[in-house]
Amino acid sequence: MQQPVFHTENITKVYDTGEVKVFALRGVNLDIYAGEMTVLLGSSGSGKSTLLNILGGLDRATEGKAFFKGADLATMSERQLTAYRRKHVGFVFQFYNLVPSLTARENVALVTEISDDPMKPEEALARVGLTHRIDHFPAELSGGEQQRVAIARAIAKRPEVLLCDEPTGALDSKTGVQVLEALAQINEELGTTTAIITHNAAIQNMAHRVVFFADGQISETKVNSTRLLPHEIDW
Amino acid sequence: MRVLNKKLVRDFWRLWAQSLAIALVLACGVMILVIAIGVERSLTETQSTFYERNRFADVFASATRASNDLKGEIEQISGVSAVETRITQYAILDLEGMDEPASARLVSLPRTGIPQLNVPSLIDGRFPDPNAANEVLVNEPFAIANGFVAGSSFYATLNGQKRLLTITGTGLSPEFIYLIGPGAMMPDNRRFGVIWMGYDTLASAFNLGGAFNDVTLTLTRCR
Repeated sequence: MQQPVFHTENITKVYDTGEVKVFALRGVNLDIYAGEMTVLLGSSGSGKSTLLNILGGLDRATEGKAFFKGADLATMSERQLTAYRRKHVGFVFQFYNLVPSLTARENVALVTEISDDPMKPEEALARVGLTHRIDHFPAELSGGEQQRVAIARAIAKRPEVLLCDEPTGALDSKTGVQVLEALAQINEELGTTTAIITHNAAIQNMAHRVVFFADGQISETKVNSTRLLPHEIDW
Repeated sequence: MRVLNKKLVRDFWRLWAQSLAIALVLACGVMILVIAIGVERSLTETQSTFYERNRFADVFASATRASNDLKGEIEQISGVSAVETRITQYAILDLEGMDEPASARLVSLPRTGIPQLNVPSLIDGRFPDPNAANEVLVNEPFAIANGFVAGSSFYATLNGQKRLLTITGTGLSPEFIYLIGPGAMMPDNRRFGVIWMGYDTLASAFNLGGAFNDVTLTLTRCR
């Protein structure tokens, strides 16, 4: 049986504001396998971003355990978590977080300069179809292009997992599809385990597996027997 | 060049006006700091030099009346380097054209003319003749405030005796840098001054013949 890259056991996350306790996650058990493209689907506030932050080492669970290839993230020190994020995880967020005063190539080089075995920035940008925009500044790029630069930046260090939090949330359908094509291509060609958070139900059709979230819990898991290509998706 | 350095250079270039303003503010701050430190050091050195040159005393003590014979005993005290005994008193002044009362601190000069300690720096004129009963040296701010020069005269009441005093010169002493008269809140150089005059004149005026009521001394360990 295939070993999961991520394995969680009864993860609970509570935000304690003093007067009120808000349960963001209520005992989530989830496995994500190597090379898999998983879509975490749910409405706002259903707990999917919280789970992604815990898996990415950006946050810690209140209870339960989260393992990355057998290593317990909950017991890692801050320094170990930083090393984990740097070596193994690529992040793509809804808002691209590019440095405005650096070109696309330089934004990617920010990561490759501090990685152990990175691909060249030019290669990373080529993989997302931005060779012709390599020396453009973020202000000279469209939203979709900026997000693809962010994806190139995330994959340039050859991470084992790519965690994407609403990568098309700020984009229209046409440019969103271009971003999804880039993600699908990375998943296919590099075998990068990819988890995509979205509340856009149309995106579920391109995933190997879909995990439905509601009220801090997994309500349903579905394996797609046939997957759509990104350009076949519309919303 | 590393990418972060490129970012730094570009951001710096983009914000050159603000950067220049910040640099100028910092430069001004550093300049003021350097100037302030320089001034502080210069003033401290000037003060030390002034004290040393005028042999400013380390210890000041006063008494109602003490025999001059005590001076020898004080000199024998371990750690005492130099001793000066003198008479100090206050006098009411009668200054021409001034309605409000003025006063002065009288300080005796030794019979040799120039004191051993707390030597006034002569700014103008000369020291009084120790044997001349009416000759006095006054502190410079008092002289300037009242328009006095060497040769000017004014009346002073010494222990009930009104005397006409003649100024032979003006001076400054480390002992009297910031002068506030008795009962005053602020310095008033017009109404309060320092008058140095011969020991014998003050001794006879205040019935302190063969005695002193003020002693100053320097200590060996302070040098």
